[in-house]
Amino acid sequence: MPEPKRLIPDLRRLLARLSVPLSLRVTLSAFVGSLLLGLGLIACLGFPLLAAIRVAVEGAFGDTRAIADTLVFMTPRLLVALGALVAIRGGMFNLGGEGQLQMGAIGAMLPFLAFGDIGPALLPMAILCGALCGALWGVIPAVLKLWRGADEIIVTLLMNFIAIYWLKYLVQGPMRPKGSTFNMSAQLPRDGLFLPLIEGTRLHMGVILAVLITLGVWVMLQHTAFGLKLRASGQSPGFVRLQGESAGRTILTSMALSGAIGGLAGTFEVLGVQYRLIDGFSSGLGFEGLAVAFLAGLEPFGALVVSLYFGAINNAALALQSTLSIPAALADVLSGLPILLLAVISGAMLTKGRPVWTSTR
Amino acid sequence: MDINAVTLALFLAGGLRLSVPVLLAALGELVSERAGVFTIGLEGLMLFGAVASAVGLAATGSPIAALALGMLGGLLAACVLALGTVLARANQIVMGIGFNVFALGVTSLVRQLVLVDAPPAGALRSVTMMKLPWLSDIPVLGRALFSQSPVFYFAVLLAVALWLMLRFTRLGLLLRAVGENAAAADAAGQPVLRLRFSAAVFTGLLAGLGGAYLCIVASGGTFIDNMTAGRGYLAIAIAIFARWMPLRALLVAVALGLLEALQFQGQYLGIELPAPLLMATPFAIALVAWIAMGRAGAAPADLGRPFLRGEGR
Repeated sequence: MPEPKRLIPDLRRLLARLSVPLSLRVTLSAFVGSLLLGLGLIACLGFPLLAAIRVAVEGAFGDTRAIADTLVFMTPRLLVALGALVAIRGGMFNLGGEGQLQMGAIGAMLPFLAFGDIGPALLPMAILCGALCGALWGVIPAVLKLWRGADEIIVTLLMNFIAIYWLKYLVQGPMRPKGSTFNMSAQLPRDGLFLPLIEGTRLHMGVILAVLITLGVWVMLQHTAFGLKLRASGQSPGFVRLQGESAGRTILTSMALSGAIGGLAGTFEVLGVQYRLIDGFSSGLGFEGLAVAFLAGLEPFGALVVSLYFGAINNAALALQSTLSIPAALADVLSGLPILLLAVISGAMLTKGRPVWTSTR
Repeated sequence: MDINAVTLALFLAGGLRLSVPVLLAALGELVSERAGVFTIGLEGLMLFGAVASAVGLAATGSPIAALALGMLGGLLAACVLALGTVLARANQIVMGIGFNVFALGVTSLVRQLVLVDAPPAGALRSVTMMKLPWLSDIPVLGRALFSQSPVFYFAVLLAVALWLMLRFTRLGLLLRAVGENAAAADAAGQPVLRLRFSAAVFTGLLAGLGGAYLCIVASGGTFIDNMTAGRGYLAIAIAIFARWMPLRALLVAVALGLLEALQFQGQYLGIELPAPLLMATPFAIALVAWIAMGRAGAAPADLGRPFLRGEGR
C-alpha cells in the first residue's frame, strides 16, 4: 500500500486523542453549557422560559408517544454516528455519513421496485439491499485511497452531494409513479414496512435494531480480533505498514461496515418513518450523526446516549414550535452548540498543558 | 448577432455568474489553508453571509449595503470559528462539522424570526449587472464577460491580487510560513496566532460575500434554508485541487460554473440532462479531478495542526 501524504498531517494524533473516552466532566459541561445558551436564546427572543422548559420536557418524554418519537428521532443519528466511529477508529476519516444514508434509503426501495409486492420477504431484502448500497458508497473512498492515495476527507464530503442529487433525480424521474406530480416514489406495501410496535406511536423495529447494532459494534471493537486490528490501524500507522497487505483489507472492511451501518440509517427512515423514498427526508442527519460520534468520543454506547439527547432535542423542538411557535430550527442550533463547545474546551485545555483526554487504555 | 452567438454568450455569462460564490469561498479557503487553518466550516460561513445580506436588504433596501452586511456577517461568524480553531486549538474538522450544523440552525432561525416579509422589490440591478464601457460592446465576449455583476469583476481582480500577494509580498511569505512551519515562524518572532486568526477571518469575509452574492444577486434577495447546498464543501475541494493557487482556483471555479450552467442553457445547445444530475456534476467532476490528482501533493505542511508553542512536531 502506498503511504499517502495526509491532507492533515497529524490526523493520527488527533485520532489517538479522540478515540479515548473524553473526561465526562468536559463532555457534560459542553452539554450543560449549550442547553443554558439555548435557554438564554429562548428568553432573549421573548418567549416564556418556564413554559418552554415544561413544553420541551413533556414534548420529549411526557408520555409513551413522546418517548417513542424521541427514540424515532434518535435512530438515524445513532446509526450514522456508529458508522462514522467504526471508520474513524480504523483511521479513515469518513465524513460521508450523509451520502451513505441517502444511498441506504435508495437501496431500501430497490427490491420493491424490482420485484413488486412479494410479501414478507420484502422486508429482509430491503434491509439487506439498503446496507449493501451504503457499503458500496463507503467502499469507494477506501478503494480510491488504496489505489490512488486520494484523501478520504474530500472524497467522502464530495460523495455526500452526489448521493443527495442522485436521490433527488430518482424521485423526480425514474422512481416517480406515472401521473404523479410529487417528488416521491410509490408507497411500499405494508408487508415491506416496519409497522409501529405500539399502537398509536411511531416506534418501529428499526429503533430496536439500532440499539442491537450499537451492542454489536461495541462487541466488534472491544472483543474481536478484527476490532483490535481496526483500532490498532487507526492509532499506529507503523503497525499498518508492518501488517503489509492485510492493512488494506482492514481499511476496505471497516469502510464497508461503516457505510453499511450509515446506509441502514437511511433504510430504516424509509421502512419505518417515510414508507417511501422522498426528497429532502434527511436535512443534514449525516452531519448531525458525525457530531454525535465526536461528542461520544467515538464510543458506541456514548453515541447511544448522545443521540438519545439529540433525538429528545429534535422532538422537543417540534413541541415548542407547535405550542409556543418557537421555530424548530432551534434544534439544529442546540445540536451544533455542544460539539463547538466541546472542541473549544478540549482545545483550550491543551493549551494549559493539562491532558484533556483521560489516559490511554 | 445570429442566434447561436447569442446562445453561446448567454451560456458563458450564466456559467461565469454561477462560478462567483464558489470562487470567492475557494479563494478564502485557500488563504486560510495556506496559513495552516483547515476551514471545514466554510459552508456555515457562506450561510451566515447569505442570511446577513438578506437581513441587510430588508433593513436598508440597498443591495450594496446588503452585500457589505453579508461580508460583515461572514467576518463575525469567522471570528467565532477562529476563536475555536486558532486561539483555543480546537480540532479543526470536529469544530467545522459542528459549526456547519450550528450555522444551519441559526440562519434558519433568523429567517423565521426576522425575514418574515418578502424582500423589497426592484433596485437590485446595481449589483446584478454592470456593463463595462466599450468592452461590453464586443460581440459574444462583451455579453459573456463584461456585462456581469460587479462582484464578478471584484472576484477576478481578487484572484489576481491574492496571487501577487502570496507570491511577491512579505505578508504572503509570512502567511505561507505559518502554514508550512508554525514553530519556525514563531521562533523567528512572527505572531503565528495573529496571522492565522487574520487569515481565518479573511476567509469569513470572502465566504460571507459569496453567500451574499448567492442570496442578493443570484436569488433576488430571498434567503432559503441551506441555500448554499454544498457549495462550501465544493469550494474546499476547489481550493485543494487548485493546489492553493488563486489563479488556478479561478480557472477551476469557472470551469465548474460553466458545467453547472448547462442546466439552464443546455436545452438551447441541444444537451438534455435532468436538473438534479446537472447539479451533481460539479461535485462529480471535482471528485474525478481529485482522484486523478491522487496524493495531496504540496499541501502546506502544518495544515490542520493547531499551533501550540513548545509542542514541536
